[in-house]
Amino acid sequence: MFSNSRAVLISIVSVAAFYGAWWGITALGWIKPLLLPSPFAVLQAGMDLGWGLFPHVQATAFRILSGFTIGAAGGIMLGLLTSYFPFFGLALQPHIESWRPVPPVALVPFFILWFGFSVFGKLLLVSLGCALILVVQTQEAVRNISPRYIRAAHSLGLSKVNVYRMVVLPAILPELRSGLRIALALSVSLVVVSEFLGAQEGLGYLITVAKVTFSTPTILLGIILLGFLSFTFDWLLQKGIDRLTTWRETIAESLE
Amino acid sequence: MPKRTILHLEQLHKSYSVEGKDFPVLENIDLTIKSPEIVSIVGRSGCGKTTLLNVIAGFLQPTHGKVYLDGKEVHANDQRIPMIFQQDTVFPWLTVHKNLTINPLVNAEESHQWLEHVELGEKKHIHPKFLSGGMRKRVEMARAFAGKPPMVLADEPFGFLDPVTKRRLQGLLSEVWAKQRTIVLFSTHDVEESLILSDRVVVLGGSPARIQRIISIPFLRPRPESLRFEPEFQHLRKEVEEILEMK
Repeated sequence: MFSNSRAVLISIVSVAAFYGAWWGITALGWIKPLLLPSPFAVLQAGMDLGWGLFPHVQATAFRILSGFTIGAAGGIMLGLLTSYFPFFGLALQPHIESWRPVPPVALVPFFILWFGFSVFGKLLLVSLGCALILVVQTQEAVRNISPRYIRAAHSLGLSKVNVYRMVVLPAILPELRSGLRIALALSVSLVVVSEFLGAQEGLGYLITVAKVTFSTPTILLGIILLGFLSFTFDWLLQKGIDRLTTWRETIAESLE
Repeated sequence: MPKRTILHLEQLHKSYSVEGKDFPVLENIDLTIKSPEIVSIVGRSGCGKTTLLNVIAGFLQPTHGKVYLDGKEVHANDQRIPMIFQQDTVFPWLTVHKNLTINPLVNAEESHQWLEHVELGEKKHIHPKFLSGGMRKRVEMARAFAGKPPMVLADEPFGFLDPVTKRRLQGLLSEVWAKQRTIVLFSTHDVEESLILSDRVVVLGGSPARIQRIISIPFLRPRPESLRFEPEFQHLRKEVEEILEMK
């Protein structure tokens, strides 16, 4: 496997190659700057905005993080409750299954009617999207726990609450990793959509305003910053989960 | 003198229902075991040993009949009887030490003593992924006995181990048992293992499985490894194997 420093180097070279190619295409003048501004034009747009950019990044980052955290925690909790209380699970399942395929964006008109353009409405939208992913992921992860662990826990005299706390919860964590990452990516897009529809700040708002004035460098700046935020949060999320699951045998370890 | 524990199986029957049809697995199982005693259940693969242990542990409900432990009926998911499984059931997310203290009846001091006893004192704070199969079995053994249970069940506990490790762990099991003086009831398809470890061997066979014979093992403890080569041991081994081949 690759050492850490080499892995970072590979990423950096890959990103540099991408921006280099982009710059090359624009420098050769194959495409009009309005259709595809050069990376330097985007950088210039960022410098023009200067510190004025900061509130937008901050607002979007806050919405992503809080919406994701509330939604993911709520979804995992709900998933565990549906398996802990089978009656509750049976009663809730049809609702989960019928709401799950509905894109959360479809609910936006109602959210605007009910909550206006408040932060609360935005967070609710993001949380709902994340929660619906994680309820199902949690239920599946619980189903996949090897029954031998549950039997061993029962035979040691653990109460049901403790079986969930000390066996079920840690056992499902590695499997929740994928669901959490998918939910995080979804929360980025939901935050942007909610900002498109109505906000006073945020990267989605920045893009909407730039759209009106055909300022394509600013639009691209917003997109790149969203990608950067998304990448950073995903990296932190992965590191966090890896830290909680160091007990796992990983493929990297077994191929060494 | 600690109180004696009595396990009593009364007319146990167990059938599995598959697509509406009943398949009897166990029939007329009557057995009484008093502590301190090691009893083994010997039978061919698939004869119903695991089902019997699961019924005794309370994981499965018997179709008829009852299991009593000290006069009290054992119910589904009764929490009095720790079991050592054939598969690895050491919780990988807990350190070796926490695998023991997860049992509400085991405190840190007891966990420490038990880990010393199974020679894992130095591995106390590491995760099970760094342990070999034999070491994990020792964790399970310590975990099962540490809460001072009235009885320990083991389902082919050493089935997946190499012969040398297996013999070492058999020795450790009798040591731990001698210290604790509980009931140990284990299943195995290894006739030698049943003879070297137990006071009585219950031979299970037939379809549905019944108790074919209960053989008392006369050898004194501690039993040396050389016992395996004694004529009397070989004779008993033959006797058990003959019963197993009959059915």
